[in-house]
Amino acid sequence: MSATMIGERTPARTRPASPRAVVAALATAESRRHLRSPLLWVGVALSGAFAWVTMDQPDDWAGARYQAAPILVGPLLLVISIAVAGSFHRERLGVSEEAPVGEALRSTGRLVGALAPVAVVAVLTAAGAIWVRQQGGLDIGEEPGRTLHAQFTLPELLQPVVLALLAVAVGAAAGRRLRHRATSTLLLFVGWFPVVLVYWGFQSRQVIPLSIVQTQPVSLPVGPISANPLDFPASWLLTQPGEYQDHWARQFVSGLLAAGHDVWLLGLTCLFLAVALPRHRRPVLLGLGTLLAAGGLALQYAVIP
Amino acid sequence: MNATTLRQAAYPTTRAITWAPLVAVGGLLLALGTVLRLLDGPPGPVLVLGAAAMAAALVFSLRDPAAPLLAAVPTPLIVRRVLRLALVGAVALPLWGLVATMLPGDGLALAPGLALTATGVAVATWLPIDRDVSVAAAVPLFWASATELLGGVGGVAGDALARWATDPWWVVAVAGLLVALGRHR
Repeated sequence: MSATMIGERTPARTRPASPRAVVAALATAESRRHLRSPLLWVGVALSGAFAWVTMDQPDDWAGARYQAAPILVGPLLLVISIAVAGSFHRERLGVSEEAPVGEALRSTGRLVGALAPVAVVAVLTAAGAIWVRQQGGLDIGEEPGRTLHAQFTLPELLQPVVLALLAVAVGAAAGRRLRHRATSTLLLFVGWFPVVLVYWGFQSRQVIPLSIVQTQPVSLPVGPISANPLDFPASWLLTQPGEYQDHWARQFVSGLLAAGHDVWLLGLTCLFLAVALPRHRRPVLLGLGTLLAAGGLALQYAVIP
Repeated sequence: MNATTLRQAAYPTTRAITWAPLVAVGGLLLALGTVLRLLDGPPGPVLVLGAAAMAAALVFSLRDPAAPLLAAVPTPLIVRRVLRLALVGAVALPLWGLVATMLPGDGLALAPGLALTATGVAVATWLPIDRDVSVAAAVPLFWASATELLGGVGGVAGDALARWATDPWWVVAVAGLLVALGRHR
């Protein structure tokens, strides 16, 4: 190749690109990478099959399907975390240090790009909400405190999206701070698995604000087996004493509780991002995360009767 | 290939193996087992989780960045892999036993874990060498997760999904056969 040809092909512009343009370019590449990843679509398929199996079966107990709805995105959360961990793990490659753009900008680009799978979760959640509305709602409670038309509140519908943001942050922290991809993948699997499939372990009134995947209704004991259910307020959803409990229980559903939980999850997201991002951004994220997490917890404990 | 060669290869192989995944998974499972014992919760999901994670850690241990360089040596790939599995298994087995003793109940789930590991190894044997281990290690995780998530599906599909837990030795036998058939790849 002649010198003339090289000269013709060398770009004339020498002015550095603006940070916004750099972030946009990185985010576009990252989002394409996420959306083309078979891993994401395996997660979508697993979540879809899980939803189909769960919603196709009759309720094992009153409100079982309503309660199971938040965990249906569990497989997607895991694959999002693993994919984002892979993205942030590339920061650990030596070549990143030689890159003309600093780590802060690169990380921002990776995070913005990771919003693509979060958008997939949002779309699936919206589709699920529309399906529930078309079905006329879900069943919660038993006579005399029962509804067949329970709909999810907006904060409850936002929970999967906020969980997806948390999955991004957790994946970013694992990918950036753990040396081996195998370690981060396995730790993410072992970490997400219990919070999704052992969700019933976090359902008591004391623990549920601290849960990751919050399932409602919260069962609150309100009277012994001998209590007359007609003495309870007519607005309460109730479950009878039976196989799973030896008392009358109120089935507590609250949009405000879900809102507090969303704030708690956003706080955790900030805390994990503080671990993932470069040092100079940590104080702000740690402060904001602690504030949100504490505020979210306080709101939830204030709401639960 | 003889026992002396294997003994001589054991120490450098031990140093070359990435131990962090196994140690991290074992530590986390021990913590989970302890919490479950304190809460007296049912161990079922953690046994499934543990079996899948330990199997994946074992399959991950097959990853050998020097594999292309070592392709020229007289020790076949399958023997090097068996050596790696034996070394990692010697640590994983007592670790898994410790996790199982921490859990309430008495389910050890050794055979299902072995079935998942064997499946992963069989998949690694038949895949191209550049992506074999990462894809193969995902197989135990995916299979165990699908069983837990879709356990209620029932019928032939449900039975097939749970095969690693209900008929683990058959799975081990089929996977072993696949490994044997692909030993010269």
